[in-house]
Amino acid sequence: MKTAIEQPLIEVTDLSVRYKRGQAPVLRDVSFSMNCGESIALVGDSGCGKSTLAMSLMRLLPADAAVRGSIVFRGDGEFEPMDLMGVDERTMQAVRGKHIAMVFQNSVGSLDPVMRVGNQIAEVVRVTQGADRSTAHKMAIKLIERVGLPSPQRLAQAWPHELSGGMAQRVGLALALAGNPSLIIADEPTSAMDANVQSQILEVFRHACRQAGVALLLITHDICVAQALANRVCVLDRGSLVDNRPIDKLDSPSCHAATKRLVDAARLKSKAFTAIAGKMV
Amino acid sequence: MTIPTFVGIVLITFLLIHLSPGSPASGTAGGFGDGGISSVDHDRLRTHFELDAPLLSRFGRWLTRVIRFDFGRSFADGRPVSQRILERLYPTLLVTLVTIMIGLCIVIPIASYAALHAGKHFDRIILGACVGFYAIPPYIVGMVLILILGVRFEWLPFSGLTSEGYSEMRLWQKFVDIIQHSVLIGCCFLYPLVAYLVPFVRATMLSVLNEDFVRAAFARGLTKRQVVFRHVLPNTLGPLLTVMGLIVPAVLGGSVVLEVMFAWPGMGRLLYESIHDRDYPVIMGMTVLSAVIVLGVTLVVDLLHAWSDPRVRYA
Repeated sequence: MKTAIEQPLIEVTDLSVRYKRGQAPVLRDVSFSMNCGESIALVGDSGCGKSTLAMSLMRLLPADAAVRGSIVFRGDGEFEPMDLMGVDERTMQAVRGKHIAMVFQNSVGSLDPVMRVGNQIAEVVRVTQGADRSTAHKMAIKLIERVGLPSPQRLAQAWPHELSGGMAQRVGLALALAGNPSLIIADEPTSAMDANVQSQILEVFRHACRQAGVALLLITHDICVAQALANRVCVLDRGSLVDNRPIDKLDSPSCHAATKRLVDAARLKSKAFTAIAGKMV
Repeated sequence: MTIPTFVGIVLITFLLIHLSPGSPASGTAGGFGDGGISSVDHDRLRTHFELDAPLLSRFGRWLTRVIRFDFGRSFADGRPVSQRILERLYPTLLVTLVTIMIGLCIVIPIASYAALHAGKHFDRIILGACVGFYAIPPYIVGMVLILILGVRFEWLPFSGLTSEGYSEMRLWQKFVDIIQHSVLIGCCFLYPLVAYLVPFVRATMLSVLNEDFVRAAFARGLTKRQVVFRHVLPNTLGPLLTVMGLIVPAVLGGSVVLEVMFAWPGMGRLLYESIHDRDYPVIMGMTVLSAVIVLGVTLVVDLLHAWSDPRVRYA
């Protein structure tokens, strides 16, 4: 489907991030690559640097952060491969939204509270694709439909505070799809939701990404969420990438200790729930 | 909510003025300079102004007239109170509203620039200047301006609203004349307003800049300019409106000293003169009108707030 299928979509080499001079780095020599249409889960405990990694791929870290390494982005073959660390802010603005989009954990808070949902989606369509007002609005309605929201016409007129968390996250996905990107970074997209909504949203993500052929970098602390969406897992432990393996090889004995810990934690959680459920009967 | 507040203000105004010592009859008595008027005349004056009726009945009669915006006649010159206030209303509104408009035009760009460059030199200088200017009372600045620009260099007029011979002027000359007269008093209104609002708008904007949706907007490929104009500024508007609702009455109230100082024929000076003359109907009319203005501004601010923020609309 895509021409650059043999070459990775994005290749991160020796990425290190340090927020303040003299402090321990948040990320240490992280290297990994992603192919077009692939979905990778980046898992790790809280504070291990997952979100910092996401923000450094978007070059949206605070100005005082010191970043080293290279992020070579090939995109869908429309342009020459470029090192995102080396390009100027204007080029980066053209990459954001249009080539690499992002979905955030705080789904409602990531929407401007004083702008209608449809207008916010249309705004991204206009900025990334240069569409005119009415085309952008029609595309916004289509996008709302695509993420499985009912009555898209009415929803486009809704205000963000009228949405539930799950609805807002679907809108978040629509906003990410609006630029027709080749990579979506989803930072804990379902962590603030109950299990039922969580599985619905994950299903929507899987469907939408597969349909559009978009690569997905899913950031999560929950191995179960990773298993639902990703075909490969990268494990971050205290700023270092310690494991990188296919999702079905998680119980192999060669796993890093951090990976085992995360897998055990997920097992323990489901066991504990079963135990509690047993007591409640 | 607006109506009970209004009645309460009317009642307090009435009681405050009628229970305070001194009456227009005694005030007039002192004015003749021959040791006062006879007690017979004094009683006739009291009867004439209905000052001998019971307090409650006076209040009842007054309230029914207030609802029809009839405040009676001024004790000082016998003209209807509403007429006296109306002719003083427009110079005050002129200087207040124009000042606020100009103020907002100055405040929003400066505060936005400072917020977007928080911690840099410009931001620090502006903040320091705001604290400094806010600490200087307007009447001091007013006196300095009058002495330097008005008296020493004679650049600008500093007394009244119009020059002599105003009625013979052509339209544009009248316009220029009023602007010239407004500059100094306008500056005295303007600088504390700007010095107060700039740090406020800057702080509001900084907190909006830290919101998740601003970061998300950047992540969606919007330029800084687009983010600021489409997302940050509209979200700063709500708190600014709320503060404007508090400021408009404060600017109106602060006008007494400045209007007296610049001999400005506005409401502030009318209030000052009426209190001096113990002109009950005018004082009460002024107070009620101020209350109406404050309530009206609050109402307008609430409506604008609902317009600017959908979360307020359904609350």
